[in-house]
Amino acid sequence: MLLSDFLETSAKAFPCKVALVCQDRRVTFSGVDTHANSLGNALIDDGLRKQDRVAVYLDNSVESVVSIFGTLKAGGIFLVVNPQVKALKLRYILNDCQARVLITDSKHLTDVADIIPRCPDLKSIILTDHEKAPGLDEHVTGPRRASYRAILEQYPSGRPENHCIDIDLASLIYTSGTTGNPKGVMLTHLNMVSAATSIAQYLENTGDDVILDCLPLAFDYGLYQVLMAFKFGGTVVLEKGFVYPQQIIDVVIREKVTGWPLVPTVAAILLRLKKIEEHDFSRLRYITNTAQALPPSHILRLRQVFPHVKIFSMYGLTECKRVSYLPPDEVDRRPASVGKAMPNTQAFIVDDRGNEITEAGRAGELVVRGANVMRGYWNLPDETDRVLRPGPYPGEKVLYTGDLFQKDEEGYLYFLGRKDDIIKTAGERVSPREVENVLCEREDVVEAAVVGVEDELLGQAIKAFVVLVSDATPTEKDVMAFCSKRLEPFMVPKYVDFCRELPKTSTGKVRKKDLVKAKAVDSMAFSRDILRIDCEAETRRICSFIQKQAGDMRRSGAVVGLSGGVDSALCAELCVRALGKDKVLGLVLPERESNPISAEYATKLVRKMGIASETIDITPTIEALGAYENRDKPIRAVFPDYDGRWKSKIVLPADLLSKDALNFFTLKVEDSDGNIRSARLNNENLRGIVAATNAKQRTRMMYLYQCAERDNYLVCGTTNRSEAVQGFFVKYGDGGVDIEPIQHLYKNQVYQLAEHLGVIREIIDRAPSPDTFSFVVTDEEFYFRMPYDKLDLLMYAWENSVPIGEVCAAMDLTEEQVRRAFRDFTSKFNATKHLRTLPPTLDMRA
Amino acid sequence: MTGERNARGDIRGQFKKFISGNFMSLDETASLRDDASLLEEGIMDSTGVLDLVMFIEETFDIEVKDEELVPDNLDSVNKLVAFVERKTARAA
Repeated sequence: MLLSDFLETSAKAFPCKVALVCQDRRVTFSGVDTHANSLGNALIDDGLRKQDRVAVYLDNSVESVVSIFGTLKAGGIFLVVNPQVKALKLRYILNDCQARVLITDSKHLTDVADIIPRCPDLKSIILTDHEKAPGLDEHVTGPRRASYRAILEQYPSGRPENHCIDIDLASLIYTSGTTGNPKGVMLTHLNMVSAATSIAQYLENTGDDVILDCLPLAFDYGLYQVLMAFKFGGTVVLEKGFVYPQQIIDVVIREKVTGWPLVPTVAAILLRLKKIEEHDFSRLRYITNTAQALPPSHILRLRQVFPHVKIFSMYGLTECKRVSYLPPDEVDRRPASVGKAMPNTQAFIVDDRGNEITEAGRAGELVVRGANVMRGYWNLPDETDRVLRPGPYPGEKVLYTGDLFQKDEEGYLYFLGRKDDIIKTAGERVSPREVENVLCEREDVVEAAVVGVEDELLGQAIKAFVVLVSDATPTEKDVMAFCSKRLEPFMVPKYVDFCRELPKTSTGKVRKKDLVKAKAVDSMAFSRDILRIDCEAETRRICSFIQKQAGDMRRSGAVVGLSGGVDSALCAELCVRALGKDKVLGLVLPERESNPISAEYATKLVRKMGIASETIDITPTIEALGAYENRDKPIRAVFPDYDGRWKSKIVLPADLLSKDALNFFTLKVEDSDGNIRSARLNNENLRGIVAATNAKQRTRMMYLYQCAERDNYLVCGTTNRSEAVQGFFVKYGDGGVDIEPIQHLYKNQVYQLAEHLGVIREIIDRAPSPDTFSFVVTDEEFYFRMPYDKLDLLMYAWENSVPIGEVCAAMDLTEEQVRRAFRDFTSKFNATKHLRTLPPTLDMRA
Repeated sequence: MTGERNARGDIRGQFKKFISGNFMSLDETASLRDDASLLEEGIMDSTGVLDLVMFIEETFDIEVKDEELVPDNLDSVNKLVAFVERKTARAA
């Protein structure tokens, strides 16, 4: 049987039945069949030979379906290219398969006009709206232009002669490859007829079914809806996509849809609607899901919203279309399973040596046997041999899926992940290489790594880690916009993370699994308690770190600058535990602008701990350096009446969007009457203030190092993770200490540990002074009401890409609050990147 | 009269800014016609609509109902402006 027989048989059996509903058009089986015949005759007349390739580059439409069947009737091989594919990729595909004919419309042709001269095998272009764009014909050389409409009018509608047999190829479906270039999956008539037959069997489809198809025909899941409906004589309601939910729901109800194929993203959007339950879905018989697993919570909700509807969780891959399905009556019992092999297919799990794994719970690669398994990859014999390997019986080849699976006691299959690093997002397979290649086309990108991170809507969202050349300052938006010009929308990274370097193996390979793994595990367990630490173990870890660093640097003790705050108190306490009471020096360095209470607390602490201490007033040194004056000058340039005694600080506003982020630093001053005023700083004034503030910090450093050298001690820094991540401005100049033992701890964890180690209660309780925590936004006071522990949780969620929904649920925040906070973290992080210098520190994950 | 026109211009500007900031690069936005279908142009996708709705609800302080999630209300800059004007007029 040939694939085109599906259409021809139905056209004979139900000539007047509606086969396709496409917006306001309704076309019968005989209508599709006669149009496809005319097109087939025209293709043959144009010189198309058996097994020549015809590319269909159109939105879902009557024309795209007719093009598929017209090609088959002419003995050709059709390939549907997603209309979102950009010009360069289209060129790659057309040249890879040496397509002879391109069927498209004037809009898409205009977008890709540049590449046409560079597709030497292309002989004809058929335009479905030729009459709208006569201009496209003028002054062009290269492929002939033909009008789809004229073809339907002029060519006979009788069935063309077709010499194909069922082992001939029917289609190429391009899918993402690990190398970055898409691979053409070769499918025979037999492959596709077998798959469609098995699927229709378990879905119990009949001619009464009306299938809604919002999925692109370039995606096998979308394509098969049409193929199958033509096989059993059902009707397909073909939509261009799932964009406006209510419009689609209206269609479901109006057209009395009985079968609705979903991908998890669409299911998630439906379940977010406010009144989804209120619609009449009584005609709906089944919902299918594939491409990625539906989260069990969504299955549960779907069961509530559609109580009478059968839900089929399925699994498959383009290379064999479908492998397994979970019978709907099992979905409540094992919502995470994708079931068992579909009719006329076998699936089993093998270990690294290819031996079948029979016991439950053990992971291995899934292998598939069946008439649905592809012929191979077009023009890629080595790649083909890698996935089509000898099977258990002589002479046969079976498909190694590259997907890791395990099964339960009763043999039901569970998908665990990919063996390679292919990302599954919004139902699509994405090759990280393809995205990385595009990122590296940017001149300011040194290298890039792309991974999938968990995402509530997309299953996996694409996240790019990008290393920039030193003085580059693109924003994430710039990078995304760059990608969106070169990649299909679903391939464009949702997150862009600029980083100093990528984690690598000793052979220089990027350790992607590390980039994803720790985060994925963390994010699944996100809760209010996620920052809770085992204080005993943490103390041991930090103490051995301090001991090792001191040993490596041949230092016998440590100096800690005591500010009177909890961070320095904790550091002193940890140094005492690591090195001994007599090997720690607390240095108190007040100056004329510091809070006198701070020195008091510091002295109290020293007394309680019983360590040696020195107090040195560094005001004269700072004065001698002219730092106060140097700082006052640029402040006066902004506020002429500034008198040198007002409190001042520099803050970063929320939502930095500018490339030149430095322009967004804002100076805040509190005058003698307590009025707070603020103004944006230009670069010159900003740098003046930074330099002067830096001079103060350097003076502190100088005294710390003086004492350290005298006693052969090391200098212990006191920056915590919350500060380090945000690159808080106040910390500028803190770099250069010997060790940072608490830089892996969030502020919240600093408090936990301080409490555990018995740091003076008053210091722990002391309200955080605004000077040490400049997390202020200028436009409103969102963060003022945010206590430290909440802020830390948000920061944790942001750093680890925890899905926003989980954050909202765990923290009782609105989605908008979380989004704003994340946006703010990202902009601040990027704006202060250059301010971060990292002395040796303890890695959180080590 | 002038005030009205300004207000309308402002809504339009806000939508254009939002679309350019979230779905397109700047030079592409320059060529986006106000009556172009966001779906046909490949600008809007299923998750994009959620962002668009959130933007409308927050910026113009109106609630977008399920039944309003249709192309007639949302599928071009012109339609978006008209939709927001209708909604705000009703509220006032």
